[in-house]
Amino acid sequence: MAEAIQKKLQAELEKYQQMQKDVSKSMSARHKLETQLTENTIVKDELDLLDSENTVYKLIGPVLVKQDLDEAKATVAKRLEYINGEIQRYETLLKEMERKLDQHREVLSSLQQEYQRAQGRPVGKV
Amino acid sequence: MASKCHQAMEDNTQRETALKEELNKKVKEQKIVVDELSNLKKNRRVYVQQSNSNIFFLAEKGETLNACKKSLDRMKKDYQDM
Amino acid sequence: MSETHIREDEFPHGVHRLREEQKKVVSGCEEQIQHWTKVEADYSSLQERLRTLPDKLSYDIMVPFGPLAFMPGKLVHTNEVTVLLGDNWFAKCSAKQAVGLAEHRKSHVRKTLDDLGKVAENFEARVGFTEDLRKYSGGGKGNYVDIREEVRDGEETLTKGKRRLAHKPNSMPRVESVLELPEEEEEEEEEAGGGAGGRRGVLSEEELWARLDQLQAQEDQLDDEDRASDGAEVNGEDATSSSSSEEEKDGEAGRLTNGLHSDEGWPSESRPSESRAELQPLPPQAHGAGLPNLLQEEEEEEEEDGEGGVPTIYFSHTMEPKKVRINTGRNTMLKFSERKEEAKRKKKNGSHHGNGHGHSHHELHKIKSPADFYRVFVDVVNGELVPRKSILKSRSRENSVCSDTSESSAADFEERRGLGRSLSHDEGTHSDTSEGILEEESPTGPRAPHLPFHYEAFSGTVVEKDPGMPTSIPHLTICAPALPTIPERKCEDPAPDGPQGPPKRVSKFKASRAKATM
Repeated sequence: MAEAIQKKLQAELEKYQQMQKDVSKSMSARHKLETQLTENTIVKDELDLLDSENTVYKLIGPVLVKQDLDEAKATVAKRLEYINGEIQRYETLLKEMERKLDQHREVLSSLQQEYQRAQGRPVGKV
Repeated sequence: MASKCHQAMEDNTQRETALKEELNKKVKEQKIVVDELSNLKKNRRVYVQQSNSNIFFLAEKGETLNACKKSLDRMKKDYQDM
Repeated sequence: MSETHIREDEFPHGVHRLREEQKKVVSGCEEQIQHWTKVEADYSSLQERLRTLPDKLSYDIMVPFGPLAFMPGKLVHTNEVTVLLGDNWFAKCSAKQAVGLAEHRKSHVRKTLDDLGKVAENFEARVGFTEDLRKYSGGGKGNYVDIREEVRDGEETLTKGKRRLAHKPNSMPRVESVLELPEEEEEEEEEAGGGAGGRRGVLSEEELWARLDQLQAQEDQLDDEDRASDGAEVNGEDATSSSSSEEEKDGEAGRLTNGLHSDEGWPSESRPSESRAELQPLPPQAHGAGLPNLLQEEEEEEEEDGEGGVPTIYFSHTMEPKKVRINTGRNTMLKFSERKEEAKRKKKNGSHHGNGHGHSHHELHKIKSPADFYRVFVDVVNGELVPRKSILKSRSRENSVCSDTSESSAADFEERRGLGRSLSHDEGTHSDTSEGILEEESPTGPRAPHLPFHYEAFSGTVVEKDPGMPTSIPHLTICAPALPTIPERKCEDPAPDGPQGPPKRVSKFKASRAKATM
């Protein structure tokens, strides 16, 4: 009996750890997105500071490609929106994962208790 | 809490000594710079590095020497104050 | 910067680790701040360079050639700058525009710096707290001591009824009377035994238990008696118990012994440590003028370096003679216990002086809430009870705590003040009321000065309205039976208490006086 519980405990523990890894991965992804968000905000502001006579280039691989100022502004704005959307998505995902993690935690603790009880009883009997 | 104060004071003094040491180092560096500059041959060119980058701009020896001397004096004074 | 949440089960270690983590965060913060400051400085110098750049048509420079080499070269088109805007976007602009861009970036950096500064501050505060926590948890560093009080089963059962309960309005007076008797008895015994200091000191457990049982028996006895006599009173066991608890609280002088033996220096007879066992684990209540329950430590006042490395002091409550520091205009030390004894004795003698007057001045000093103090400090003006405007001040200079000069006048004042209305019951039992039963009923206010009482330190009698008075009781049930507290004053007037109350008290008072003079 105790062994069965122990095995279950192990399995649960592993699942829990896996979940934790996922959570941390999502978190780091979200963090990256946030940095990108700040960066693109700065780019947008600076583009606003310029006027149309300046040439804007975009670095694509090793090539600097000339861009139109308005086009550039539009592109940056779209990118900004995209990043925001991604962040939202990750937020919900993280919440969901947190919830599942809590569930798992509870299951784990109850299993632990059971295990301990099982441990205690055989000892007592003996 | 006396002990707390003591600890804070300790931290402060630690920091102070660290700062002092750094400043000391910088002073030494500046001294070396000034010496080197003053010992350059006449036709040598002096370049000044642009902060945080790898670009060096040509500068006048005399001017640079003066600037370095001034910064050295300034650093010495800071060190004395500390 | 996520702080590791550590369960501080093992205090010193946990706290230590917490501190470490916090330190890390703080140092990380500082590093970031340094970094960003450097960035800002760089931008500033860049701006300078950009400003001077267009001055010359071309510059001779050393061009970086790979990571380790330079080549002499020329910088041309000095006004054209290609700026990296971020995210692989470039913009060609003039030097001035570049300066503007750099400025914009600097503002961003400054904002980041501010945020970091705030975070650092917060963490500094947290670090401070952790430090405190570490001290509190002991580890031999701090001066903090755990004070524990064990509640033993026996005590519990005995003090079962004495736990503090919400009093019914009419319960208070009743309770007092019941309680006083046993204590009174004990006190008498005590006195008889001349055990002023005898009872003090550490009692052996057995003694305590024996005493406890004794007291319990007495109380039960008195309970029955009182219940029989005071039919009107709605005090049941609870009242008794609660009153007893109150009694204890009241009785306990304002001396926190912190688990130490009772002070030997108390002049008056020490209250028998009868109720030591009785003592319920009353939460040390700050009874107004700081009368914490007297705690007399019994057995284990060890200082253990036990749990968590915090020295522990064990103590338990006891009933000690009250040394209430009340500004009585004379000495501040109130020989409270003496008065109490008197009261009890009298109560015992005349036990049933009407409606639960027994509660006597225990009730006076049964201070359960700050408001009770205002009850205690009551002046008798023109035969009426007038709450004093400030309990910190005595009525007159002579009564000031500092001056012991005019004892007699002080006494007079005290009498007149009637710090408390004489408890009807108490007065009844006044034999040697000298012991500060300067309990004057309001009507006896004017008479008070004539009382040839021995003046005792505490003249602050808590006068309670006669609980028997039906009208008064309903009104003045704010805290205790109808004492003329300031808020209650209003109630007082409409209530026909004045006339009713005093007469009774007068009678008792007279009786006691008669006794005294005799």
